[in-house]
Amino acid sequence: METTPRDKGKIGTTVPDKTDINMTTANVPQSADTATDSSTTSPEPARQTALPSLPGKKRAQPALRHVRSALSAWARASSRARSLALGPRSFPWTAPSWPSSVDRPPSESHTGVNFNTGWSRKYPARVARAATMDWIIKPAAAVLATPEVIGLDKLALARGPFIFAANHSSHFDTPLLLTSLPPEIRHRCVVAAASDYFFDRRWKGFLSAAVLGAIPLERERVDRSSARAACELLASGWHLVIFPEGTRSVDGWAQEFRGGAAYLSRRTGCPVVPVHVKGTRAMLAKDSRRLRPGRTRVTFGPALHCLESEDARRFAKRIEAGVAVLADEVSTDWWSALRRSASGETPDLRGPQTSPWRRAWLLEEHHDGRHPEWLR
Amino acid sequence: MSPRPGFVFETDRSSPATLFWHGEGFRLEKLPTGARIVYPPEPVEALTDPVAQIRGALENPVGDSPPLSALLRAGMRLTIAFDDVSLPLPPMRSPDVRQLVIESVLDLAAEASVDDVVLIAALALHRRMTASELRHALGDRIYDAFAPNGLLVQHDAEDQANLVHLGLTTEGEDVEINKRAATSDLLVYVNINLVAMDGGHKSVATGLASYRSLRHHHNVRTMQHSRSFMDQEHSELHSSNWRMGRLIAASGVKVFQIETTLNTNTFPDQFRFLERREWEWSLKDRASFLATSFALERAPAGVARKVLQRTCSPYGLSSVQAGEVEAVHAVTTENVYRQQLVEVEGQTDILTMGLPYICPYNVGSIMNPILVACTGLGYMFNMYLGKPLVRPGGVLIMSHPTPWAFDPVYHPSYIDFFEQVLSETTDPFEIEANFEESFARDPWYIHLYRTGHAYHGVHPFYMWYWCAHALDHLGAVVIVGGDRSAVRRLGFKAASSLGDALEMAEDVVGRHPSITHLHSPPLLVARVS
Repeated sequence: METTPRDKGKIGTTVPDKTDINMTTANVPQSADTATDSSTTSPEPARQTALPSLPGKKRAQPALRHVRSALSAWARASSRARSLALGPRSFPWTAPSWPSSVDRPPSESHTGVNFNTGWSRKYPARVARAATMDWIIKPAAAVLATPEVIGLDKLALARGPFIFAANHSSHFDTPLLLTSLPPEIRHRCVVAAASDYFFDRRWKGFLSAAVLGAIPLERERVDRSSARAACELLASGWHLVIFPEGTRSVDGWAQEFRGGAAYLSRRTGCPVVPVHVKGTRAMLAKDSRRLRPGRTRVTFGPALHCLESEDARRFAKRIEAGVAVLADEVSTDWWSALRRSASGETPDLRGPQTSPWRRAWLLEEHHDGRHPEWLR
Repeated sequence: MSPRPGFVFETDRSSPATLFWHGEGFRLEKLPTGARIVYPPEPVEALTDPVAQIRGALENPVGDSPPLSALLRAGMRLTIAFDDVSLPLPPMRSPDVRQLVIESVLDLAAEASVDDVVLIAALALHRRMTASELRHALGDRIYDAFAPNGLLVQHDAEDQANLVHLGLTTEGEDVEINKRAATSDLLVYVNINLVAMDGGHKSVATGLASYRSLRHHHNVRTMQHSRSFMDQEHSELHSSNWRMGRLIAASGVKVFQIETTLNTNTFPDQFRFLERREWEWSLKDRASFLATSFALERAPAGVARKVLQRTCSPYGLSSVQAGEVEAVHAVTTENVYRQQLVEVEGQTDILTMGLPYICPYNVGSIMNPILVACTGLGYMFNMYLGKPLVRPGGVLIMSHPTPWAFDPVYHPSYIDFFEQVLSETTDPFEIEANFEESFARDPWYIHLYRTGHAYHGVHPFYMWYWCAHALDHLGAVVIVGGDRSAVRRLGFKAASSLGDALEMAEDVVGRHPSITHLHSPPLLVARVS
């Protein structure tokens, strides 16, 4: 249509006599409103007569009426839904698309160290976790890992809450360690878990927090918020399980202990209990996808306190040495390990600094000369 | 984090559908690619301790005014006037800012042993407030102390015995205001500035005036020369009120003005999606939208209206200033702009907007077709500085059901205006010349205004005059989803869908028009360059 917008007469001068042109032509799709209008103007009986009747089946007519009314109700409901939005498969039924011309703001993350685990320490979650731990995980660990737990009597000599610092070579370490603890500690214990691994997805974070009581800990960079959260939990009487190596062992030998456990102990005054876990790598190594039954041994050492003159780094060394003595004790006996420790001859937990194959070879010797790993 | 400023967004293929208000409901419309959407700024931070801030403002006035405490003395006549039910919109969650301010004023008055205190609701020609509305605005403490003793009154613009004529302005405008206010030793006016048009001299010169006075600026010529109402430098309505206000001051009426501004935290949590940009809608927002839409659509119209009308806004007090009228208003206007201003580049061929369920004149009642026109053409169209958002000869597309329905208690004269006047003509000048006087002087309407809760007989005329500038400026007005007969009676075009409306608009503005959508409320003022 030819248009001369600026020549148009001003509106509001007369009552319009022009017919509204919103009566869409046949080739224009009817809008939801238009469809509703037309449905109200077209008589309902006409629709009913359009439906075929079943000859000789008079008794079936009431049922047919029910079907018809159900179909028309469904049609009305979907028409109403379409009138509300653009359709059940588009926004707002689905998430809105983000316009390409608008920069996405840095989203407020609810994963990683920002994952809120407060709910997992509420009473209902604790009861559920205790039930899971005692009735499912502990029997399963007993069957699969046949754990031998040594040194729990040493916990009675110290006052908690405790920071349990263990070597780490398998995902199985955590459930094994937790189920090895006395119930009064196990049921009030949280596990420091890598925020970038266990909390990078909300479902993973939920699962870790619900089942293991995990809390996110930043391991790649200095983050005071996760450390502060751990300190607050310790201060409020929660025990903490932490793996100071920061990740699972790659070749079976331990890695250098980081200062996290030592720092938390120094901040809170809580004692660190060195723990050595043996046998879990054979069950579920780092890159393994299959859990194999095996025999495990969990050894608890004497509680260590950070000295006044000691900084976190030195204390971390002492914790590592404490775990090394426990490892030696597992290989030999308590007295031998004690003497070697006194003479500074405790084998290094991190293994010899030599070629990879020799480290693997010595590791096998270290593990009582079982089959080499490549044969398993 | 500081609130994000207003934003002009250009739609592309990846843009989600856009929310349109549609009376007591919503529509999601897919705007054509390239259309602009003007989003309002996010709410500014509210004052953390409003009572302390109010006390501070009373003791540290702006302009040439002593502190309020220095103006109060024993034996004086003190009148406190306050804005009526038309502000703020939606009504503010308790405590209303008027309550906070007036309580502070009364605390000081009590300390100064002022006995003769009267509170006046500044209605102008609006309907009288109900007891519950007064109680909500002022709080129980004030209401129970003043209302039973007849010291809480509502301005009556037809009570000749209680009006006083103060003189004529340089333009020959009558200034006639409430006698109690004019003869008091001090008139304290408590204002809520929801938009830049509110407050200043308009508070007293309009709120406490009579029809004889109001007709000098509430007329078609003034309205057409107010471009816009939000721009004081270019508003004839503003100029007229300023002349009257200065005459009032020159007549010896001492006014201590207290003005407050609110942030645009307009909707409670369950309606938070109304304040968010569509692509930022969370799952909760989408669920709220769907649930609200379904519920409102399925509920009977009256129930849906009542539910929405009962919704109170969690507004926050963003500023308070007191003292001399003009100095106070200058600061207030800055604060309003700080919250509402959005920079927009260039005009558009077609302006679209969704109209909500409420406007200043249908609190607690139906938004009738005249108020629909006034909200769209009088208020929303005028939310600009510089130039209108839509070009001369452009098209305004509004979305509203526009029911042919009126509230006979609140809007009796509207019914006759719609039936008798608009059926004859929609030309504001013709209406003003031929019909205004008879409605304004009608004794039945005056009786209902004075004794019931009816708007004055002339009020629907003023509503139509508010549209005068837009009617003069626009090439066509299309209402989407409106009652066809009601829309035709208004002189507008009806469309079933936005697509149809855009097609109709193209007949007026030509093919491939530029389109701008005003994503409001929350309120915004577009500064168009």
